[in-house]
Amino acid sequence: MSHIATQSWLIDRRRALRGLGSFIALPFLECMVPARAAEPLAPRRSVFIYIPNGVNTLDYQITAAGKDYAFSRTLKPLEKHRQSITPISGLHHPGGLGHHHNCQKIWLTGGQLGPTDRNTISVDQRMAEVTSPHTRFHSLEVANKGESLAWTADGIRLPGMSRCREIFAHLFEEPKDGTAAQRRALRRKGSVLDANLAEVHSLEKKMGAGDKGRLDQYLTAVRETEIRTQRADAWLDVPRPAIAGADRQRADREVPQTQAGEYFRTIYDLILLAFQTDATRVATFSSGLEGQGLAIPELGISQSRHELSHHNGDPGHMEKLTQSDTFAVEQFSYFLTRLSETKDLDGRPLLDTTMALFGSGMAYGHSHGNANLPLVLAGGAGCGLKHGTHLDLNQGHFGGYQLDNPGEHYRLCSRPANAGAHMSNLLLLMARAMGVETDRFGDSNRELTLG
Amino acid sequence: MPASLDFNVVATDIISRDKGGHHRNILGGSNYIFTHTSETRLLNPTGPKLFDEAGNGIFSFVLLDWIEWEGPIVSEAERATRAGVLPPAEAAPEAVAAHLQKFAERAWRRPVAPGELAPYLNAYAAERAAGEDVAAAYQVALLGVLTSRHFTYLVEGDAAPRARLNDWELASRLSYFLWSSMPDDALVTAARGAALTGSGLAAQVDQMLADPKIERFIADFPRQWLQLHRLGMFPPDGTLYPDYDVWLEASMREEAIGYFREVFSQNLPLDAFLSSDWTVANARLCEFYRLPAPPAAGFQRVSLRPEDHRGGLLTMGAILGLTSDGTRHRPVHRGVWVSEAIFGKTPPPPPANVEPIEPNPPDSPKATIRQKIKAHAQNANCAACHRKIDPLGLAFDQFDAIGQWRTRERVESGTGDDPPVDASGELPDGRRYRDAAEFKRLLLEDRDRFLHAFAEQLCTYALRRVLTVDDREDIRAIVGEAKQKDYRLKDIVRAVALSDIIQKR
Repeated sequence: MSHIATQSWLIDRRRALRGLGSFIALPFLECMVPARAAEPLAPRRSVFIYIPNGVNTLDYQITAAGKDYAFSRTLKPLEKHRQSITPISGLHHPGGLGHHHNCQKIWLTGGQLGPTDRNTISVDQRMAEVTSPHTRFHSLEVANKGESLAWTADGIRLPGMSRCREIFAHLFEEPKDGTAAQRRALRRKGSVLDANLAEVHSLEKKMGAGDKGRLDQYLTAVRETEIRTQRADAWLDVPRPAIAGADRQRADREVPQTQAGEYFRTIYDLILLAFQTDATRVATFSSGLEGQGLAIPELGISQSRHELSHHNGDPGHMEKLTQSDTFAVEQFSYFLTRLSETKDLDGRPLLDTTMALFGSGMAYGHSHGNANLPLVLAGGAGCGLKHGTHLDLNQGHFGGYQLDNPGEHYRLCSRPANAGAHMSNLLLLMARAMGVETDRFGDSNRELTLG
Repeated sequence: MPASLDFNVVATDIISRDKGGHHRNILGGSNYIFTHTSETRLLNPTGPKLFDEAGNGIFSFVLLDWIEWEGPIVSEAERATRAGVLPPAEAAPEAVAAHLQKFAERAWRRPVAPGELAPYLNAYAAERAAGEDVAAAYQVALLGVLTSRHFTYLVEGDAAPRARLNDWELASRLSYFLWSSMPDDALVTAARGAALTGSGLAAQVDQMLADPKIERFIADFPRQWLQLHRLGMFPPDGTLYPDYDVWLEASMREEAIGYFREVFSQNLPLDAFLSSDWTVANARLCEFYRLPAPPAAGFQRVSLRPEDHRGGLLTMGAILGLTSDGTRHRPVHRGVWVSEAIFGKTPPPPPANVEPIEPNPPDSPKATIRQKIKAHAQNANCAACHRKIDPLGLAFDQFDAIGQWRTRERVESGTGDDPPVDASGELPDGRRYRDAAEFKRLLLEDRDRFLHAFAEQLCTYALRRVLTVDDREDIRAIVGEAKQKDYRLKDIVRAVALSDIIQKR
């Protein structure tokens, strides 16, 4: 049996951390929470998965609201998870309407984009502020084209990793040069940051108010780096979890993106391993940029999702788009299956403490319709999420779905029927379930209610 | 048989650090050049076929038995730039402080008061106390100077407000405008000697314009002005555009830059950007534009006839491609681009409640995009803006999504023949054109508007900020100067560098 099935490595970690706790200096924030026992709640996790360009919404849309809904063709692969998921219809980001493919940039931020606007912090990074004192890694950003879904408070996009082997090594392999060399490097980095901070503080007093904003941005970056440097130092004495057997075979390998299914599943396996070993509690996975959604060679689909989404009504293209959508849903279903089969620390399924949001920032790609977004929220029963229904925010705001009248349905996917149904309300729900203490996120106007 | 082959290889596309350096699996991308026999996609029955039944190559390609890489290659010139960075191994603290001050003055591009470096010298001392040798401890101080805000930002102004830049700030502004880099020794000397005024300033600017580092301005300004980063953002559909490849895209980008370089170095009037009977092309582009093969390898100036339908920026592959979406040409995007790049006006985004574009029903006659966006003119809400946007883009309907000339628009869905293209239109002021060539002639009549917008673009680039109504007089002065110089590009750049606005906070 593999080492991690028993989580015996955690014992080492606790012992090591107790020994360390006494001499870590914590200048600005709580640097790192030493022992798991001190946490009031079991670990909670969140993962966000983006598919570009929306879906073939005629085949995707679930039409009945509430408990007794029938799965649509595209969402059929999720049927076996019915009790653990909530398909959500009718949400939109007001800042995304009329902004074409920028929807990806604000999917997790709820921000506004324009010549004078700057993006804001993404919900995963808000969550990581709460979870990162407990884990070796602040958060995990996976993006097959390198541009992740995660944004800092200054509106800067975090880079994402794309190669499976690279992600595995990042999470689980000890850096080659040994602890002493790393500790020295971290100490030196700490010295540099201290000097930068000292310089800024001496300057702050002399400065005009106009320059303060830019300086704050610089200062925040330096401080955050300093905290992470200290955490990294504390983690040096904690051995990384050993991944062996089937888990390693599955996750520690190179998979080209031309093998789309293998690639998706391996990324999901890696995220699962990261959660299982508590390497991090927050992850994002962008499965493509809006212009570069993966082709699916194993299904004979050679076009990018962008090409398929601008189908102009061509039945062949629309069929392929549905197949590509269904394919992505199947891989997500695989992820949920594995989360439900994997045990968390207390023996409950990992799925109970993992909230997974799957979807797109676009609904009807052909005309860049950014309303009635395709979204599925899954897992997290242990975080208080109640599943089993199709949550339909369109209900009561329109005359019912008209999938046999595509023009009418495309209109629903382009102009929100329910103007108050902001996607930020969903992000707020997830943030609060993760322990973020706030009653607002982005342009939320209330917290979404499931069930 | 031994043979010597030359390859034009865009190295950044092969060893891409941000994508993690896929060396072998590069075939998976849309922009591959090398592949490898262990590449799994070659074994995939749905993958591209490289050989026919008889074992002959289907594409032109070269089989390599082995490749040798040599490197990293550090040239003498590079080595020379590192000389003297570190203090001598047995330097005393005072000598280290003096050494760091010299470095900081270069890094921060201004005189540095000794006290300013105290935090970094303290870090040095702490590293020494921790047992590091002089070189290793000094590296921490160096790193600190390079992560300081004085290095990262172009810091201008003091706590007490002042209206104009000091000499050091001006030197930096000029050098980041024209060289995208720090001031060189001559500029530093001029700043130190308070020589950046009047004829001293003019002499410095002329030297800067003649320096090889001006190439950075030539490559970077048009990239931003023309939005060249959008080229290839939506990779063209391989089925619709089988001729499109990574080398064509790289050639298109280079054409736009090379064209700007030619206008700049020959000091030609701005008219050349709007219309011309020449371009800068390589063999790949000449093939794409159906021009005669050029006499030499690489990029060169080639002449155009009216029937080639090219000339100027607007009908270049790069511009026509970056304003399309990979599948279809986008007249509205093209109109917005002309409005921004030529007239300096960004139209407002569409309101949130616009009607979606419905797909063409398969049983109805094939319709062009132009026919589909007719609603823009009929619906009063749309027309308010689209009346000013669409006519600027419809003129290029005779060019498809990768910029190929056509007379019919290829439409996938619908009945009947592909419809003929209509590239005529009417500008908001009532002037009419029949096609792109006539549209360009109308733009030439508007050259003063273009000049004004171009001066604003240059100033935005040089000042790194959005212009406001307070800058109006300064822009007018630059425009007046440009007209006296017959709208010539290098003279306009020089006028901006010597202008009043460049010296203002």
